[in-house]
Amino acid sequence: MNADVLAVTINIGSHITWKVLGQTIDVDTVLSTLVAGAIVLGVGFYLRAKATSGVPGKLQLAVETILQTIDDEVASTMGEAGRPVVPLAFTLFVFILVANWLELIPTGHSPQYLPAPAADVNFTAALALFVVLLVHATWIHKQGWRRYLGHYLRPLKLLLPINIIEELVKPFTLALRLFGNMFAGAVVLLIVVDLVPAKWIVPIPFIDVVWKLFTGLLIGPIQAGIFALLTIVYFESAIAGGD
Amino acid sequence: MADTTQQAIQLAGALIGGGLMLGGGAVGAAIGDGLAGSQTIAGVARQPEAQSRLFTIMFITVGLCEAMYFINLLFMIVFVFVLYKK
Repeated sequence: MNADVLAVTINIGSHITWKVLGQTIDVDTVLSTLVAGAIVLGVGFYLRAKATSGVPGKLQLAVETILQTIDDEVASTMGEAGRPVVPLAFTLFVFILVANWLELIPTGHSPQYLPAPAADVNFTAALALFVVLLVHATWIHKQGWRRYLGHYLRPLKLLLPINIIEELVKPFTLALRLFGNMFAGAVVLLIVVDLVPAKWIVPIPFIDVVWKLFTGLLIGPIQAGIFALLTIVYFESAIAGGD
Repeated sequence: MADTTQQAIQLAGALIGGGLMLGGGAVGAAIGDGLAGSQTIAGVARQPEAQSRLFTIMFITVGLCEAMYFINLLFMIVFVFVLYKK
């Protein structure tokens, strides 16, 4: 989409695409996802090689803090049965956090070479669908078909349509929340950088940096945290049973 | 002539609808964040030791409230830029 905003044309939501086997693939999002995945894996292997039970380094301390927070959250929600959810929630949080941070690196091309992957709805929809399908599969596996189908009728049989709508809407809100936050951040970045003419007193890099600080320190971690937290909450009703 | 008129009406409708969505979304998100913040302040005033736990919950609630606004923003972009044809 091209848009004319105050006589400046900005490129919103356009990606570098390749056509593979008849499907259109947003290559820049795929590249960002691979880079984020490589960073997460690299940090993971590095920490495993250097993990000490003595005085931890800063990176190990940060990772242990995050892990401890997630562990406490899962334990307070689900107890011991929720142990398998901790690695999933931790991985989702760290992966989405690193992916959001990739937006802060400018590559100077009009659709960026390393955009925030979450600014592409395909990425967030894939993650949300994966989480929701996993929740339903775990539900059926842990509680059996009868209790799974029966939960739609609790607490009142009358609420069946509302329960169905709730279950159908979960992947949508999960995907669109993360997508909307990151996409709006990217759009504001484009508008702000293009909008302020160079002859104004306020230099462009200042607004750029301020907005990137805001997105990187506040919105990125919060939205990653909410994605992980909602994953834990959805798993709670699947594992510990909603009666 | 009728075609330009129709395009103009479409564009006007899209922009007004987009503005309403943004306005309503902003009011809703701000009220939600304000309620969360006010309860946090009340909680911290009663029990200052609970500050860090309350802050965590407040940020979680803020994130969830802002999501409604961003979903509105998304639909505004869809309306305005899909109907904005030259």
